[in-house]
Amino acid sequence: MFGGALLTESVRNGIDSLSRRLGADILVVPHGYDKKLQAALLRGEPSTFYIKGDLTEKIRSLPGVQKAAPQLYLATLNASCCTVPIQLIAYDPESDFVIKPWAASALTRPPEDDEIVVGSSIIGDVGNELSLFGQRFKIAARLDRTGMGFDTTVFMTMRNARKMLRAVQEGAVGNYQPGAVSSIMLGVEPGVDLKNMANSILQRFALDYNLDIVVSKNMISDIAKKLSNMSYLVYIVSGAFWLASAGILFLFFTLLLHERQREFGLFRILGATRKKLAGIVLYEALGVGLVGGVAGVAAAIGLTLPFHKHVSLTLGLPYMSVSFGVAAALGLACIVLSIGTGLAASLYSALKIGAGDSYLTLRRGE
Amino acid sequence: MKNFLAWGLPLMAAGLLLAAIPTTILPVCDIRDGMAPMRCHWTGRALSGYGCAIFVLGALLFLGRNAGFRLGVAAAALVVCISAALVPTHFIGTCRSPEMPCNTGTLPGALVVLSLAGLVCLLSIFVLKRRITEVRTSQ
Repeated sequence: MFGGALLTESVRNGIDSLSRRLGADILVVPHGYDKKLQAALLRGEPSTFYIKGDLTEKIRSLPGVQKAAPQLYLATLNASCCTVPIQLIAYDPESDFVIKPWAASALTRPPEDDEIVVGSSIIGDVGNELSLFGQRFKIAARLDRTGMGFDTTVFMTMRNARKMLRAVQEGAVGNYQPGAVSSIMLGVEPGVDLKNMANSILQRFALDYNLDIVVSKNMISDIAKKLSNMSYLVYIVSGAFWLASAGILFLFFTLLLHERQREFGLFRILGATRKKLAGIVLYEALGVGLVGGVAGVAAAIGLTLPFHKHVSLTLGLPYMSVSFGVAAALGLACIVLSIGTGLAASLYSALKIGAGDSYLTLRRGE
Repeated sequence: MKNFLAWGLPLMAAGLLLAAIPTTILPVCDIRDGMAPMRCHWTGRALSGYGCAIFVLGALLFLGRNAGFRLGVAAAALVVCISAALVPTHFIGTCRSPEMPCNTGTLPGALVVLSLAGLVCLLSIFVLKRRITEVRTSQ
């Protein structure tokens, strides 16, 4: 139960992080690359794709569009570490409203020439150099963990990216044309219908530029739906295990009462009241519930904590571990539930104990 | 607690798991064409070897009759578990990037299995030592 709750809360954290950081209402991408863009944003799966750069100004001039910021997505090998491609995102500091606001928490000024900003999982300390496409860039800042694809992303200014690409061998970065971008992030004016805006852009530009549109609200609600489905599954399985445990505990205390009849009969003869005997049973149930709850929470921590990264990559959903306070609260709630289950399961036995004649109870136990 | 035979079985299972983790269950990073194997490749092989050793020690613990012999085997198994845990964390290591499969799957998997195996070894040592002391006291 605790493990399941940790998992769902961590994914919920990741989704909250995504919706806070996404910023844009609409994302314009090349046709067929909407899934790749989502994979890059959610899981940091690197991709390279292009649309013609002159589209940015055309879209910016559309009625209802408040902001339009181009971005360039490039997949590159991180040569300073293992051979895993990483995502490089270039943004225009003048017009950007997606990356700049939260990058500002790590770097209060725009990156200078040959400077980059890296996500939390990129290897390298601030001040170290990273080699990208055969050129060296200095790490100016490291961003906080986001639980999404940005953690394995390198950010640089569009100017630096274009300068870098001019020096790169032809074909090394796909079919790059000078001035091309990969996506355009749009912020619309309040009250503008996103679906109508998306349709309007497609009608005007889809044929000439071969576009797809991603409405970020839809993307986030799709992910939230996956989380809901996952949560239902986790809660159903947890509920089934809890019911089974409650049943087993009930059987256990019933058998316990049966096995210890002689003992309880003796206590009664020695003067113990029924209340006292019931107290003994409930106290034991409390101990069993407490030990079981603590052991269960410890086992869940032992299994979920080491594998949290593996789980997040397997799920393919944004994932950000919960804070210690939240985890402690969840753990405590599970332990209290465990104690309550133990007490409830033993209640029947506790009430039944001491009923009947003490001598007969003693003889029944022999 | 009386039947010590059972203690060897979890250790044998842990040994099998440890041998299988780097190759099958939670494999280390692939070797890419034209590139030298990464650190995690050698860590994986070492862990598989250690897994076989732990399996053999578990079998000895299971089959042994003498409490003193079993105590020695359990102590040896504990040392092997600690040594195996130091392979991916100190002796050889894994890839630098925390996103690589060796760091997300192989390393935590191996450490969890080794922790549980180490716990079994400690419990075995405790129980066997107490048994030997009781036998000596009763003589």
